[in-house]
Amino acid sequence: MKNLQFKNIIRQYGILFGLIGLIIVFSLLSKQFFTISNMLIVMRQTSIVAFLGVGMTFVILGAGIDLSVGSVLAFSGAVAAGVIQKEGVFLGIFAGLALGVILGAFNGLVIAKLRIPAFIVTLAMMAIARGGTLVYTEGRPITGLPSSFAFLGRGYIGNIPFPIVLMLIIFILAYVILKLTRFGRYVYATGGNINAARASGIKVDNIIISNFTISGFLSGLTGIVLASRLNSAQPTAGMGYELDAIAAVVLGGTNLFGGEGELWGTLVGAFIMGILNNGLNMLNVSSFYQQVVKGIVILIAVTVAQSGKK
Amino acid sequence: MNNLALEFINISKSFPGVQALKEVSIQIKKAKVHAIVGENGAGKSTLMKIAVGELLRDAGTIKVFGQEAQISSSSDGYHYGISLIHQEFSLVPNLDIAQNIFLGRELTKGYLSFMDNHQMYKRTEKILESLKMFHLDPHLKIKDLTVAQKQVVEIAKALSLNSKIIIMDEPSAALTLEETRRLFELIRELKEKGVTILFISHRIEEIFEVADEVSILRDGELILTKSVAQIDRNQVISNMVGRSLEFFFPSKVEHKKEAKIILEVKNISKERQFSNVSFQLKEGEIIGLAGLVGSGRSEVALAIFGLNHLDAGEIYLQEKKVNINSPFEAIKQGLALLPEDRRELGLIIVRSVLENLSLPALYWDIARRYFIDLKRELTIGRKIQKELSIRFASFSQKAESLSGGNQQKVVVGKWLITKPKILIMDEPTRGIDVGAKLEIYNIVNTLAQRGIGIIFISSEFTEILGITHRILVMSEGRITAELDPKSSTEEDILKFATRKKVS
Repeated sequence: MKNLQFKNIIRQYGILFGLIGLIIVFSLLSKQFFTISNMLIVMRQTSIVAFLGVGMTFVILGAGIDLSVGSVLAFSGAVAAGVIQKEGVFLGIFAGLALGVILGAFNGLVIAKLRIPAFIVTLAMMAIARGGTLVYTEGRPITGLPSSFAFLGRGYIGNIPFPIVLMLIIFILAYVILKLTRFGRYVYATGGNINAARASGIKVDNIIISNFTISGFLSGLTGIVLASRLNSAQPTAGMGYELDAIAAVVLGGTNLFGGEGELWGTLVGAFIMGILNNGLNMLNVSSFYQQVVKGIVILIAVTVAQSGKK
Repeated sequence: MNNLALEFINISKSFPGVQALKEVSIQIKKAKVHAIVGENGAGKSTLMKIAVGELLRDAGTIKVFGQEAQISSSSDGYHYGISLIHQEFSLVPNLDIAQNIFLGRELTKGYLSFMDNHQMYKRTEKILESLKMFHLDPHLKIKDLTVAQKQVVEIAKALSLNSKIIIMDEPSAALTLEETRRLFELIRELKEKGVTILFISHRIEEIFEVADEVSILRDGELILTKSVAQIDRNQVISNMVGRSLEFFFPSKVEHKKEAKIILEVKNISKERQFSNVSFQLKEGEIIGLAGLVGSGRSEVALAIFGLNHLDAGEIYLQEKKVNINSPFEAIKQGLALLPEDRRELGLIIVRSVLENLSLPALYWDIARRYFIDLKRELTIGRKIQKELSIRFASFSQKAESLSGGNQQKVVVGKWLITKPKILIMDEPTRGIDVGAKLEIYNIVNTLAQRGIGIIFISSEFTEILGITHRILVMSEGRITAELDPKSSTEEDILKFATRKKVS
């Protein structure tokens, strides 16, 4: 019985212990690691993966996958920057978010109505949005953004960087939606068994479209925050971020086939990725080796989670 | 000389919460056809799986041709010359017959072990030829075959493994009458060749048609083994059920003739599924939809519930014409469907009991605007748990961890919460134990007394006779008879359930 409880704890909170363990190890190896200023840096870096990860959690809980988030992020960031130069900050941000919503909704519509697998539809969108970015920017970064735009990526509220505040707001909102609303239940139900969900009167198509729209919106937001932080929109922004976002969700214990998982897990998963980056940098590990380490950590985490399930 | 092919000696097996088999001993004679009968959950399939090693027995001995056999993993059955043909075939649809027969043990030639296709097709051809009346080309793909033909391929596969004992799990369940007749011919032919056949069935008629001996299981215990010549139909049934029917079913509450019509189905049709189906359902009435597998019963149910689009026909609720094209619409109109496939359509097995219970009602009742009233959800859950006496440890337990009977009660519960006026139940007692069945019957009765109209679909004619007010029999997509359960027998239902279309 005790053994069973232990296994349950490992299964539910193992990833949290992993995060704490990582923090302890890096703290022992580097004096500068566990300081307030470095932790704020880690959190600001993590916020990017966390934004995408929250959207990805909705999509994966609904038994989908979104490979287009990195490209949509770049396209939204570029369009936002372009519009900002001509029409001002407010309209620019609006345009960037709107583009994210439109591309995400398009993904969802094709997947739900034409019944094409999410993997394929979003793979196509990954290429389309990246191509769109290159066309729009003519392959060059968009620079020279007004200083009033800098707040999103580089501003502070008190001592805390704005992206961290934004991350917390989004996390709390998403948590409330998933846990306390009808829609959240429907997301879990649809991902758990789409046929049974439909037979229970749920309009499953709408749920799928909403999930991808949320993911698109958050990708757009990420693109805008990133452009603000870098003071430019890069045509190559967000390349490979879809994998970081998926990794954060999976590290967080969400079932890739949908229906099971918790949002806080995604946040912890995103932090593990962020801390690995930061800690390994501090230890002067070459960025080539960092990739290897990240991959190994994902494998170990998922293996441990699996063994907890038996 | 020992004339026994297979002996089960004191076989026991239990699953969490159920004793599936209790010290079962059966002797199966060489080159005979031996039928194993019993209700759902009696332990027939469990025993057969133990015979080939797909399930491990807890206790007992198995002897094959007089020798004690060490059967402990699923390949051991083949080793001793025993093959089990499942209801769901274990064939690969995209491969052809020969490829399936030699799957995993392909013949090879030469140093590089290339596949010896020539030999494989030749041998397949030979085996298929030996099953004279079934002319099949070894190059045909499995997905292009009928159910009956797939069965022949399974039998051929068993023969290619030199199986001397072939076990068939409800072989006729999905066959037409003509196909069943041919299957029985094949069984007799195999018997003449010295093959011992064990088959599981719950169609009593078949036993007398093809079997030499019969063993009856009930609740995991062997009731008797007898030669078919020494037993009659009624003895088989009373031994299967274990009590007379009046005892088993709750006493029917007479249905008021003047009750309001709440559902009327007029000439609904769907190509290749059903045609011109019409009937009425009154308040508090239980009508039975009887028929064999594939007769179109479930398709009609899905169509009424908006999960299957109609080609033609009309549906009236409370005398108003309705157009139901989604379950959402159906629920709104007061309909509920307990689906045939509980795990596929009824439950979200990875989610908790409470989430499953409240799911259909979230929109209509439990949620206020967008937010869920968690307190109300739990109150309603507790109430329905008590009402249906659903047994589980906690509301946050996953639905998959419940027993079949309790899972079914969760599905009943989730629909009762929506306060339906019409409840369609498609095979509600399939795969659940006898005790849970009885509880389901009682629930059905209580609901009808409350005025809910119930459409009760089943292929177990005893239960249809036992609990409904009126029986509609379906065959090949049409309603072939309307019977009064008080004056009808299982034979009457079967007669109409197997009636062919006059073309």
